[in-house]
Amino acid sequence: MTVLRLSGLSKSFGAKQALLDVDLSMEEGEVLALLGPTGAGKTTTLRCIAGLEKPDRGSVHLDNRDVTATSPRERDVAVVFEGFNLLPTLSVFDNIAFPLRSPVYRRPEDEVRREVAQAAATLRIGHLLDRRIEQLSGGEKQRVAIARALVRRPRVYLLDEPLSALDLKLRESLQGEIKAMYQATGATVIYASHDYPSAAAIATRMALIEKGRILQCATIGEIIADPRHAAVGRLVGSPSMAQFPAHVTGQGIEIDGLPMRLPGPGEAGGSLLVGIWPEDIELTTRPTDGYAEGRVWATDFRGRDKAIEVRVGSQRFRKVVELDLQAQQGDPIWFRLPPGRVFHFDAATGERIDHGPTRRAA
Amino acid sequence: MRQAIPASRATAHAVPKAISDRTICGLFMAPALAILILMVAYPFISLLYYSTLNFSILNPAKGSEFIGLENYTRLLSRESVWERFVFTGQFVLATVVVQFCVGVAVAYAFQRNFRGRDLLFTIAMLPMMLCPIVVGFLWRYMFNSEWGVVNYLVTLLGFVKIDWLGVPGNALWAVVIADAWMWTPFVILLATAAFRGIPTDINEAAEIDGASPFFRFTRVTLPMSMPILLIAFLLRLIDAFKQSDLFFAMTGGGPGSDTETVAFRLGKIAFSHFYTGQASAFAVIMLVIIIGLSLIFVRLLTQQGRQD
Repeated sequence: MTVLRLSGLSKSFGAKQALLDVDLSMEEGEVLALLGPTGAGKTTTLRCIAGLEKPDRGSVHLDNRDVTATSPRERDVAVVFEGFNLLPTLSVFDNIAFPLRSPVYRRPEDEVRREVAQAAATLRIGHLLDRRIEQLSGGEKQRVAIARALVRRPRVYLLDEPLSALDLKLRESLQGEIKAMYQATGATVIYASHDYPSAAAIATRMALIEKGRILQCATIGEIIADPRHAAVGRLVGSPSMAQFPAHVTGQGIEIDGLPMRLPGPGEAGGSLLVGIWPEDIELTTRPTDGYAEGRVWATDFRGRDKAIEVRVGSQRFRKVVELDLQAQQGDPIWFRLPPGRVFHFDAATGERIDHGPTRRAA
Repeated sequence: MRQAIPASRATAHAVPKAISDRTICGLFMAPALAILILMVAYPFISLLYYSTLNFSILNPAKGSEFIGLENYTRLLSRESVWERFVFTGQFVLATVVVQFCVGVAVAYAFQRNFRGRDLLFTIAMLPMMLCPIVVGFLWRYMFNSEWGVVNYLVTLLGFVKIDWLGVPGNALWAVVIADAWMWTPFVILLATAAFRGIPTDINEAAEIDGASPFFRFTRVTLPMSMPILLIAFLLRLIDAFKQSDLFFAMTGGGPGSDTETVAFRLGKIAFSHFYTGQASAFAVIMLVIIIGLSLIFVRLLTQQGRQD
């Protein structure tokens, strides 16, 4: 059953186009990550769904009901904001109970106590219920904010960068708790984030947004197999897609500044962007035929493996390699882009184009 | 600079430890302390001293006689003095309640965006900036029973003219209206500041969680702005307690002495009867009451602070 549908949603603030023709629909129990850089329109999208912002054009449907003109308190959605939306004047218990005591969602007091206790147990904050908000750490505050959203069992949860203010360790443990929370309740969740790993950890599907437009909305597997836009490649993956400016010559596609030629159309044509997932780039530490020489610019040790950044002229990419690969900072390294693994993007618009053999969708 | 640093260190070491740190601290604080004692402590102590004397500044040559607490006992045993306290209490309660009800409501209305809001806000602030005596005479004319605009409106509504300033019960309300007119802007100002300090996130979250505007006002806006509203309340309470100018201009304390406030009576004792000793005792009593009220609110404020 379709719980949420956005059609042709547009919104501008003065001269800035915040959203442009956003279409999105979500099934019940789905967890959708809204992934995009800062200022891409994630928050505006969530605010339009919640009713805090009125779209210039387009509509919002919740449960096949047009709520575009409905006030926030009659939409039955819950939002967890990036900043903490908790009331410093109330205790943790009263903060979580707030929605259940409001005129719209009021419940009998014994039921409120039960629901709050249950939400607190889910997020493991049962021992904090008597505390005051200012006595909590950032991670505890965020759990309380999530519990406050959870306690009401709304139709849709909107999480706006709920974890970005937290340190890595807390983020990972809360990711697990959010996941457990929606798996237990079958909740429908939109999780807005600029952080690919946390989005990938939580979501079943991803909508990639940039400059107010949804570039692609698919499962992670589908995106990896078939990225629709160069910007999608830049947002997805850890490290993200390697992209090389290139030209179409009569003999194929030549990557700018590299002695590397990929199969392409017969006739010469303009410039394009060649993209490839770093996992598909082949590396070797010895000069090899058909490989281009680059230099290891930087290495990040990540415990069991390491990420290296390779540069050749103005071209560069990052790739995770085995720890024992002989690639220290400053070492030469040889790499190759297997022709069947690359994607072609229009250099100007970033749209996917097809210039001869590329990786096929699985 | 690099060479200057060791040089200055050397001189610091060279200073003999003849003066202790405490003395240096004391020396630095001495001027400020001296000014404080001169400006605050001296007047207060001299007030306490005068309150124990039978003394009049009209006749200093006659000298002063130490009479202990007799000024106090004489004042507090007089029923007319107690009546002044009761009257002042009624006035304070009425005017502060009116100011807060109107002020908070208007400030809340000013939270919405509408055309001309800033201009209207500025105009609303004007009464506060006028001189109290001016405000008093302004309202005295408006409340004039024969040709005042208030009674004109009353007759328009089909009622008979009201003797606003000649009947004690009416005069109390007339001055309450004038005082509230003058000082509600202050409440509006502070309440506006308090409301604007509440993060919009919190209000939006409350709205999403099903809170109606009234629910948000009572559960979010008011509790969140309580510290500032308490301060405004304290300031208005103290000021209202000391009110005498408006009564002076509007009723002259009459009819009889029925609309004299405590501060008004104090002025009379001091500068009509020139009982300087007794007036000093009266001033001390007022001061004690005001300090008592303030302490209650400071306690409330610190409690609030501990909660937040």
